[in-house]
Amino acid sequence: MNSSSPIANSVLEMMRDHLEAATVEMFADFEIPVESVPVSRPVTSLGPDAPSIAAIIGYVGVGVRGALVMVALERTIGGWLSRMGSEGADIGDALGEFSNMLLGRLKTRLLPEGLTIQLATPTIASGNGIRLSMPPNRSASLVFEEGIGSLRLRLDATFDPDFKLAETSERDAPPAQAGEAILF
Amino acid sequence: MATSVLVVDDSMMVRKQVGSALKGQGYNVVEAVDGADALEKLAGNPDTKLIVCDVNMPKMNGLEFLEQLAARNSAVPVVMLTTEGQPEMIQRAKSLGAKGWLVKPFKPDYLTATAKKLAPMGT
Repeated sequence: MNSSSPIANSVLEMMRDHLEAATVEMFADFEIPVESVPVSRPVTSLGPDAPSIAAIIGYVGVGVRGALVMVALERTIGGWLSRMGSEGADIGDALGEFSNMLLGRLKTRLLPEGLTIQLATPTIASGNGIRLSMPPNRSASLVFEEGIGSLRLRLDATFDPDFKLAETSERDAPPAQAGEAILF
Repeated sequence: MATSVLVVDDSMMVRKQVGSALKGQGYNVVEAVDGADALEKLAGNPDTKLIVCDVNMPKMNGLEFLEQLAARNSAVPVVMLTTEGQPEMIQRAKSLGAKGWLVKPFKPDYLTATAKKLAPMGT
């Protein structure tokens, strides 16, 4: 199965929907109300000269592999950090942690769908006007707007020919949710 | 002397946030950037009473770090602080001796309550 097959497309669409909801939910936890807006064109770019940061974090599951890419302007992330009380924090490190938390939330949402993924650790890139090409049929693109700037996401997914979602049961233990604390 | 907590996370932002919450309750905080660094910091700070540890880290991840602590018969309680919520992973940490599991973004009140329970001030 390649990523343009009907099953791959439907799973990627499901992953995209969860990613969209998880992004809004995660930033809301930091009192940053991002809003998903239509993607006008399939390229992640934030202007030709603006200092930007990209965080890339890979994942792998049974029959699927890919990466999450987050791109934002440095001033946008800096503004959000100030509002979070983390003024002066390293902006690249912060975007890397956002990508880590977001992919973790996506993982939690995918478990009940029958898709278990393992996460890599984030890699950070910085530069002016970072642009990412958008491979057709293998990625989902999302754009979020907030008062001081925008955040662009790209979720890549490549599926093996025999990929299928695992069967899940109501007896399966639910995953722990963001903010939850468990003492053994 | 303040009770000492070792905070292990590859994100400086998380280390600072966790450190700020714990210092606000009077704890002394030592930072490490991954499991390997944490083993070194622990050797240099034998009075450590609690470890707050991420799971996904380069070099040595949090579960590998727990394995190393178990091999050393460490009695220092460890609380995992991570984006992960997978039940199998939580059970794995528990079987390796972890005392708790907090999912990011953490609630400072939960973190400090956990610290007070596992490493009361003055210990």
